[in-house]
Amino acid sequence: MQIRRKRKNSEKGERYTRRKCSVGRVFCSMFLLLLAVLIGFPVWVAVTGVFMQQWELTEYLGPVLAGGTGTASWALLPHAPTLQWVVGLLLDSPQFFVMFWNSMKLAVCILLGQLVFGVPSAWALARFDFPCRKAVMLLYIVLMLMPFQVLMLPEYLVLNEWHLIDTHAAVIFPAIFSTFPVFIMYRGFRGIPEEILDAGALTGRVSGRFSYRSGCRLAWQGSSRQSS
Amino acid sequence: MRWRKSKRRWKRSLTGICFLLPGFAGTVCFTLVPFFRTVVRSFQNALGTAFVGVENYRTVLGNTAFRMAAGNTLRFTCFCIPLLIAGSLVLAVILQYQKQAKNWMKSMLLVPTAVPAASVVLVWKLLFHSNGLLNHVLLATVGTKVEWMTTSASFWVLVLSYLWKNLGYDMILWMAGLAGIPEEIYEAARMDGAGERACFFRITLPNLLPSLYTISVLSFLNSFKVFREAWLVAGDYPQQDMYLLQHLYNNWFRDLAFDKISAAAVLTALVVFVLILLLQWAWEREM
Repeated sequence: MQIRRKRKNSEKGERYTRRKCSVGRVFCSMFLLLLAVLIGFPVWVAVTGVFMQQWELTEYLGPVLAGGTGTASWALLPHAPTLQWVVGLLLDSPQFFVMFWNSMKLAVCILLGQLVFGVPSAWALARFDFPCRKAVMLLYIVLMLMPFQVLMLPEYLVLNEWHLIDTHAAVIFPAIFSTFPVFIMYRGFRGIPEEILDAGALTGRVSGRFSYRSGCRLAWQGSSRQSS
Repeated sequence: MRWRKSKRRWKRSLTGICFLLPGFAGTVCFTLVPFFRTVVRSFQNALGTAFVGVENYRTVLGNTAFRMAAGNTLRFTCFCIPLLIAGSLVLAVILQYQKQAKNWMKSMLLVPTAVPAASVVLVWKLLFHSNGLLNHVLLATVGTKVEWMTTSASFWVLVLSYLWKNLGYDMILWMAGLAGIPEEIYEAARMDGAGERACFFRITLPNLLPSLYTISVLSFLNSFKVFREAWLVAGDYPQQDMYLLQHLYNNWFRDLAFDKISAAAVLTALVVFVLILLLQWAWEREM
């Protein structure tokens, strides 16, 4: 059963709201709560496991990881929390920091590269009209959907010819020129109304500079999501 | 006057091409050229020394492992993608009307997207092992165990993993699409006496078609990424129902069977190409 109710500030042009029957609302809330619990459970296991002591972990994970009997179990919270693993990782494991800074370097370089090369490509495909534009877009989508193993060997051969094997550049360059961020940003740029750009042109801003600055802002969202 | 207008149009096209050129050159070097070399290799032997015609294609199409992997991949794709798209749409619609729950629910559902596969694989092992947490719960409630990793139930491991990771991502995209529908259309429809169901089927769904194209392509792309979790949990040769095309490519790569990989890759690319053409033909006006 629905009751239509007009909001008090209707002269401001705010829309009609509907008030759903309370049973439906409760059902929706409970469903969302259950979903949140199910979705968050693996992350919760990982987080609470960080603070559990060795004996507790053995008790819970023994049947799975150490060939014990019975079935695995888990507790909502650690019985006797400890920081030993966190301290051990952050203060006693230099190899972790080598790997961490390597990952940071790769992620930052790839992100910057995608901003420099991907944003102009997406902008050109979305806002300009030139011959073969649709063919290029189709090509980008097909290349984006190619599984990694398909291109593994030829990419290795190309990287070998350029003497990039065993360097960070071998990971960075193919990722910078990946077509996935171009696709994401293309959809974003396509949605910008023409009127905004006309207004920018009327106020006398140079097309290239205006599009690059506003484009970068829009592209940040799509690009950073992709590199995670 | 006419030549001046077309000169301006040419100048604009040239600007577009200049914007596109650096990124396109890089893509050609690192993706397109390797792909063409794959196509050439698919007509050569494993070492790349002799030309063998369509022999590789014949071998691949007759290979039982390829048929099984292709069948599994097709079954997984056809089952999971509609389920994910419909499920995330339902979630997005429900969440749109929640005021308090909206923000923290969005953050909650985006967490799986941000968690790296390698971090969550331990939890999957914990959950789906024959002595694992799921069986613990099942034993306590129903009284029987399910051998997740060693029977055909392994297919559901893939499905759960895929849905867990991508539900939030697709829901956010749907919510962006829903937010882009102007309120005035709803107001006008309600003034004409349209009910909730009519509003949803006649206004909301047709306006969501552009989002549906993007979400379909992205869900299809993410369905390939489920290989990461599957490989980390079950290794090179998992249970039959979990064996995807990428497992096959991985094993062939390790065995240096480049002729078979190239032929299978070209076949996959053809299927994907036809699929994309179909999608584009259906969404012609959006491109």
